[in-house]
This record gives sequence, structure tokens and C-alpha cells, in this order.
Amino acid sequence: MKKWRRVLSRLGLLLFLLLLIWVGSRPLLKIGLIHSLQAMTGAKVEIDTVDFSLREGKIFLYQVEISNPKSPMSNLLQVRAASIQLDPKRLLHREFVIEDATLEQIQFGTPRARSGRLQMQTIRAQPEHKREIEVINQSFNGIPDVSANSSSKLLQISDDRFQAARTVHEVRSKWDRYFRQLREEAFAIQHAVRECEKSVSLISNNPLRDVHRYRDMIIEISELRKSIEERRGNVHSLKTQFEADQRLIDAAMKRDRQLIEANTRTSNSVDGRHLSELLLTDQSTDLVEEFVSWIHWFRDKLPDPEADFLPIKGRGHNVLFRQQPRIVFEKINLNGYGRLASTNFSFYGELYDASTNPNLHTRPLRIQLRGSAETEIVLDATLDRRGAIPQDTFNLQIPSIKVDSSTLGIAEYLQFNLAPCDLAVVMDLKCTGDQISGSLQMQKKNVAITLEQIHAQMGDQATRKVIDEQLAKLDEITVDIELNGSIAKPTMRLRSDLGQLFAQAINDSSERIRQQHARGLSDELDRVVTSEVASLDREFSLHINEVLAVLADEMPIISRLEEQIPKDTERWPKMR
Amino acid sequence: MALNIRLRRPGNHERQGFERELWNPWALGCALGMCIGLIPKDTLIFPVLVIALFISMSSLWSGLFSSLAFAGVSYLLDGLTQKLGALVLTSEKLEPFWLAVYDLPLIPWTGFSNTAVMGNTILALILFYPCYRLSYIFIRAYGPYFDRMIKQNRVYRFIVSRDVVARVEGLP
Repeated sequence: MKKWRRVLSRLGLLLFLLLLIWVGSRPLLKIGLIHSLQAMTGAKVEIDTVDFSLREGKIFLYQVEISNPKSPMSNLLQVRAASIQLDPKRLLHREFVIEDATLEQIQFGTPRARSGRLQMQTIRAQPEHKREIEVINQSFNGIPDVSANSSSKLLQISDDRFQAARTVHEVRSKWDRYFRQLREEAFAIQHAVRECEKSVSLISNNPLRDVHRYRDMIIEISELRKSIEERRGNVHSLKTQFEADQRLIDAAMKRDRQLIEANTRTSNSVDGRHLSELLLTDQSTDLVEEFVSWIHWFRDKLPDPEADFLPIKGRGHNVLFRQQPRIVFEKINLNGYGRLASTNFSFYGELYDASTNPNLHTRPLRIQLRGSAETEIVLDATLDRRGAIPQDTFNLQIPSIKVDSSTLGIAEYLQFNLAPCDLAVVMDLKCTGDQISGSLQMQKKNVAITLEQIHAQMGDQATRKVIDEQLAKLDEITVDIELNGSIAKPTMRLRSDLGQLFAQAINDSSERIRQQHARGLSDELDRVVTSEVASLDREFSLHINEVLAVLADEMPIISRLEEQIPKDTERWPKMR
Repeated sequence: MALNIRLRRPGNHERQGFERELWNPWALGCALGMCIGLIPKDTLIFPVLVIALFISMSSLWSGLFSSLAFAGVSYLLDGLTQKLGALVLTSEKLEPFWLAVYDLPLIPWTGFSNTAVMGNTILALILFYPCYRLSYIFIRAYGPYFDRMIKQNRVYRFIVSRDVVARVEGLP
């Protein structure tokens, strides 16, 4: 009897313990799951409620928060509810194969109220890579050089290179000097003739007394005649010289016109490719940066116990008799919220062949995500960690996503306003190790683009009008981007027809401005030189005629004086 | 109340109670407690040993005290046991055997592929009978005094008098 009492009391106690275990199974499972997940992620894991169904082999989790080991004040991901269907047969072999799991309302990077760093965990120092996207263009020097259109750079009539104006100025100075000299000589001759006339008159009034001056007067009158004739001859030679100077001015004019023509043909026109880069680089860089961040997240944010942190040490070491991952998620159904191109979107999809040891798994991890109705995003990614070098492929297709209004270009230089429009993206990228390569095509549809600012150097109202006309016809903008280099610092080559569209208008405008200026310059040159030449010609005629008239007036006087003082000495009065 | 243990040689009538059964419950409790204490608790071996402790009608008190004492010893001997476990697990001759065992259902839950588990399990198996034997000798010599001392303990008398747990442990 005593023995049976003991047996019964033992059984009672055992049942009591089993009951305790049953009651405490959920908290125990919760502790076990948190412990396992923390060992996997190296960060604090919080689960609000855990439930399970032994019959179905299902585990249900509610409000799961896995903090980011590299940023403890934010969550790596937050899941509202999760259900995990385990394979019971594999579980008997301690293989955690999740046949089907569903993660509801996933959110990435949500902030945390408390730090998610584990007390016992040591985070390995990660080198910080500042992601910079470098735009490749060997000849791109930033803003296209349109300064040649500047008024300060345009050819001016005062430019030293103009010869006609300088020649006209020199010719005029020379002829002014000649005219002054001619007049002075003419008037000097006139004065001399007057003096001679006076002398002759005095001699005539008293010939006997001044007969001794007859000889001198004859010489003087003769010299005056000679001088007048000489001047007359000079005047004729001056006409020849003046014609030669006019030919010189004409030659200079010809050279000047050639200079104007040469200056009109500009070599530094705006290149369409450069302008595309100027207009679209900022926006494209932002988007590429966002995509690369996502890729970075896919690749690096999922913690690797061997690389990112020192795993929690248990007792002993496990000898692996089978090279297989500890936990395999054959399929996970996902749905949640993400943000792309400044637009929030909800998504759903599947994740295949995720495992805690992807290097030991037979298949690579595959992700297929689809955006919900309003945002039809299609993402197919493969993350292969089976080899020594990680190889990932990302294929993203966004048929249409609404993007906010934005500005293109550089303020105060050339800037456009882009109204909200639809954006279509096709991305095909491959990552091998830390290298990235692939292409990205962005297509902005239903665009309403307006010219906000254009620098005076790039064009005038007419340019603005031409660009406005081009913009009115513009319905979509296509940008092709080629990515290369490292993931930390990818290089980007950008191509678009947008720049070509505006470059043509700006170059046409520049050409028009130059031609207008050249015409104006040529006209001004003609006006200045022609008026100068005409004026010079008038002055020449005036001065020559004046001199000739003066000289002509003096010739009869000279003849008269010659008659008054005969050359024949026999006719001179005899001295008493 | 402080325990006042005075060791003296027990009389024949006191020893009779320890010799009536095939396995001495106190000594068996000590040996099983030693196994429980040594082997890591996050394996299937732990609940199996606990159930064995219950159904073998061995002393729960001796099992409890023994497991607590040997848990400490286990940590002290970790270096040695892990080396022992690694030696056994990585032996090329035993590899086919381990692979065959690994493929059996539930066996991987025992964590036998862990060096600490394997080392401590081997140590527990080696020490099981010596521990039982030594415990038996010790309990045979001094068990009645402990029995008397416990029965005179106020807490024990309180529990027994209130029928909180009627004879939960297997004192002889």
C-alpha cells in the first residue's frame, strides 16, 4: 500500500510537471524562438505573442520586431503577423524546414523606442562606404560653355582686330596733316605774292630809286611762279596718293568682313549629351542611389553571423555530419510596405529557398515581389551565396509609378519645372562580389515640362519661344543609364534625347544671335568707314580745290607783276 | 534552523531499510542527478533523464541536490569533456556509425553531435556506476542520520502535517 502511494505520488508529480510544461510551452517556445533569431541576426528580437498548433505543425507569431544590428535604434524589419508551417517529418531529424510561411505587413527600417543592441553581442566594425555615384563623361566639363555669346565676348567695332577703322583713322590723320600743310603753303604763297605785289608797286612808283631791286624781284616772282606750279603738281600727285589710301581702306574692310564672318562660325556650341547630363544627372543619381541602397540592403543588411558579429557562444561545438543549413525557408509569402522614388507602395510576393546558411543550401535565394494594384512593381532577384563570390541578379520593372513634381537642370542657368508624371523603370543589374553592372531605363510619361529659367547667355526670348515650342511637343522623356563599378561607388553613364532637343534650340539661337550681331557689326563697320571715307573725300576735294583756287588766283598776279618788271634790262630806267 | 549534523555509526535496525530494495533510491537519485547535472539541458537527454528519475522511484531530493552539484562540476570540466566529445565525434572509424545515428528520427534532438553533450554524456556514463556505488556506501553509512535530521526539520514537519505533499520523495 505504501509502495503504491509512492508510485501514485510520483505519477501525480510528473503529470503536474508535464502540465506545467504544457502551460508554459508558449512562453518556452517564445524564448526559444527569440534566442534562435537573436543568434541568427545578432540583434534584439521582440515577439509579442507566440502560438502553435501541434496537430498542424504550425507556429504563429504576432508583432515581430527584428532590430538592425548595424543601426540599433531602427528595426531591420517589422512584421505584424507571421505563420510558419514546419515539415514535421524533417523536424524529427532536427531539420527546421519551413514549407510555407507568411509574413504579413512587413515594414522596413521602422524606428525603435529602445536600442536593439544585444548586451552580450559584439558588433564587428564595418568599414563605412559613402556611396557616391560618379557620372562618366570624358569630355563633360559641367556647364556647357556658352560664354562666347556674352556681350563682353562678342566682337566689338572698337576691337583692335578691326583694320578698316584703324586705317581710316590713320589715313584721316595723315590727310589732315597734308591739308593743313597744303593750306599753309598756299597761304604762304599768297602772302608772298602780296608782299611781292607791294614791293613791285613801290618799285613802280619810284623806279629810279629802286632800280637796284629789279633783279631781286624778278627772281622772287620767278620763284613764286615756280612754287605755285610745283604745288599744283603736288596736288595732282596727292590725288593719286588719296586713291591709293582709299584702296588700302577697301582692303582693310575686306579683311574685317572676313574676320566678322570667321567670328560668326562658333565652335563651342552646346552638346546635346552634355545638356542631358546637366538636366537629368541629379534626378537619375537620386533614383540610382535609391536602387543601389535597396541592393545594398538585400545584400548586406541581412546579417551574416560569420561576417557581421560574433555569434552567441553556446557550450561546445557542433560537428556537422550533413552539410545543410540549420533552418530552411522553402517558401515565404510576403506582404508589406516599401518606398521607392519617393512613393510609398504596398507589395506582396514570395521568397524561396532562404536559409540560415545559404552557402550550404542547394539552391540560391529567390525573391519575387509584386506591387499592389496602384503600383505595379515587379521585382525578381536571385541572391546566390553558394560559391566563393556572391552573385546576385536584380530585375525590376515598374510599368507606371506616380512621381512628384521636380526641377531639372541648374538654377539661374537652365532650369525646367517638371509637373507630376508617370515614371516607368526597367532595371537589370548583376552584382558579382562587390562589383555592379547593368542597365536602367527610366521613362517619364505624360510629362508637362515648362522652362523656368534660361540664362541670357544661352538665349533670348526667341530661344525661350523655340524651347517652349519643343516642350509643348514633348510627351515623354527617356533616360538610359549604364551602371558599372563597385556597389559602394558605382559609375553611371547617362544617355537621353532630352538634351539634344534643347541643345538644338539653344545652338540655333546662339547662331542667330551671332549672325545678327555679325550683320550689325558689318553694317556698323560699313557705316563708320564709309562715312569717314566720304567725309575724307569731301575734305580732300574741298582742300584741294581751295588750294588750287588760291594758287590759280595768284597766277594772274604773278603774270602781271612779271609784266610790270621786265626781264629785259634795256627797258629798265637808267640811273642818273 | 541550522542543520546540526552529528555523524555516528548507524545501528543494524537503521541499516535494514537501505538493503531491502534492488536499487537504492538515494544512490540511484544521486547517480541520475549526476547525469542530469553534467549533460547540457537544451537537449532531449535532459527530459528523458528527468522522467527516468521520476519513474525509477529514486529519491528526488538526492537527484535534485546531485544535479545542482554536478552542474557546477560540469562547467569546471567543460574543457576536458569537449575534447573528449570532439575526439569521439571526429573519429574516422566511428563516422559511419554517427552518420547512421544522425539519420535516425529524434536522435539529432539529443544534440549528440555537440562536443559538450557527447563529452559529458560519456563522462556521465563512465561515472554512473561509481557514483551510484559511492553514494550507496555513503548513504548506507550516514543516510539514517539525514533521515532523522530531515524528519525533525520544522519545514518538513510543517509540510507533512499539512499533507501538502504526501511522501513526495522516496526516503527509506
